[in-house]
Amino acid sequence: MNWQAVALNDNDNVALVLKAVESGERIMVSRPGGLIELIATEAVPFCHKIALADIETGQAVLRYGEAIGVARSAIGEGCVVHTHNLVSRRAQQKRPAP
Amino acid sequence: MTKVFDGFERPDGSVGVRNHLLILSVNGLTGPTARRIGRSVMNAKVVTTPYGSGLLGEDGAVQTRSLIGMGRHPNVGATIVVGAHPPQVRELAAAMAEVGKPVEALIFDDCNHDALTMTDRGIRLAAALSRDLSRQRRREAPVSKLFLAMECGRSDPSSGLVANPLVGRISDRVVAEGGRVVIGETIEWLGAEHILASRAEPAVAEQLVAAVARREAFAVDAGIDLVGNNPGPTNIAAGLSTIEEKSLGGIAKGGTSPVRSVLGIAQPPAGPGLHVMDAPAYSPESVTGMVTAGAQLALFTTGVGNSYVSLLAPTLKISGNPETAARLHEQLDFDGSGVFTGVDTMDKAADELFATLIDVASGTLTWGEILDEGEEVISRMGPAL
Repeated sequence: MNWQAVALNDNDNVALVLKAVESGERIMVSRPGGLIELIATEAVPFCHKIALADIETGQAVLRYGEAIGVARSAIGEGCVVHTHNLVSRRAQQKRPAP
Repeated sequence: MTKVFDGFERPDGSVGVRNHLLILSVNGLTGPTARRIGRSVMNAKVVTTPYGSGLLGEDGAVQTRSLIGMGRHPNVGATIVVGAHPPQVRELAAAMAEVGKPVEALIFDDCNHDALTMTDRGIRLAAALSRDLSRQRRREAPVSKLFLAMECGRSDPSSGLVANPLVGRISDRVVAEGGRVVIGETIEWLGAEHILASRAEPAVAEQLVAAVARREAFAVDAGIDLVGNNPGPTNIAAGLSTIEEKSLGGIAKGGTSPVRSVLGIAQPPAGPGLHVMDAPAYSPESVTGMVTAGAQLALFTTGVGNSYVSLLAPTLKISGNPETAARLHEQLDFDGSGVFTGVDTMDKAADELFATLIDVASGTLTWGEILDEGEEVISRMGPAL
């Protein structure tokens, strides 16, 4: 296998790494449309997500071609995408009126 | 491709993949006696419920439906209903007997409320039924007779990449053959409900979306943040970030077939095809809900490992995570990690999983059966009297 990460949809802005990736490591990402090259800008643990492009605050994070939540802060290409920078848009708590 | 399995034909036309003698305690008072009887005869399956009186509304309906569902289950050849109150035991036993299999009622009132008298009668009844069951033989049956429950537990991001799509292919095959499939865990449709709804008739789609909204409101009203609950700590540590991500991976278990109906807990589907069950997501409750609806087998995907299996329905544990596959040899009935590492194609793995399924349906034991891990857990919802 000559790739280290997978995105199942060409619109996805994150991919799943199939092995632990080192910071600065150059990886190949398999997508339906073909392989793309990516530099990991930080270490990505096994089975975690890596950003395939810069993602702005509030922008939808796409996996399976669907929104899995929105970026809670700006995410740079090659960064880990997880609970620290990705938040669900669902089951939000009722906030008290300001 | 194998399109038949060897099963036990039942009078109602269903086919069992096992031929269990079920000792079913329908009342909290008789559980220990049921277990004592079960320990005394070979291969008896004991299910007990801690309840039996004072359940209200949906709780009462689910309890009754689940108990009847166990007695009627295709994998059950005969049942001894053990309980305290004569009308309750007789009504349940009569409902179970409608499908034409032997059902015996064992009632505390008839035994002077003496557990030892009840145990003695129970063992003799169980011994006779067990002997009768041992005379029955498997016969060839079509895959259309299968009803599969698809479950995921302790998922990780590999679940949505490998194990769930793999199980989805089995769903599609069984549905194409005229069989039945169910997926449950309503909260794990959240964020993916539009995809399931798009494969359903408008009325079913509306019900499905409403079921998710109702479950979502439970969390919001209870002041619970889903992050940390679902996805839970294990999911998050493994790399899943949001309920939407988990759901989008989770619904792949159901394949791509149209969604025919939204079922209640323990409600048998009216016809073939793919169905969804509106029920809690925790594996024991979820799997029991689908098994008591009549599913003979469960396909259970896991990312990092999950030991729960149904007692009545052989449960095939499947993972696509190579680390998990290396760690949990005596838990995983199917290792899909070859797809993850690129050694196997999804098509090849699906063929092998289907062959494993047919094998287990025909009598090969799962790790969960061999290690006696099985349990059944009936959901509870509200207050009782």
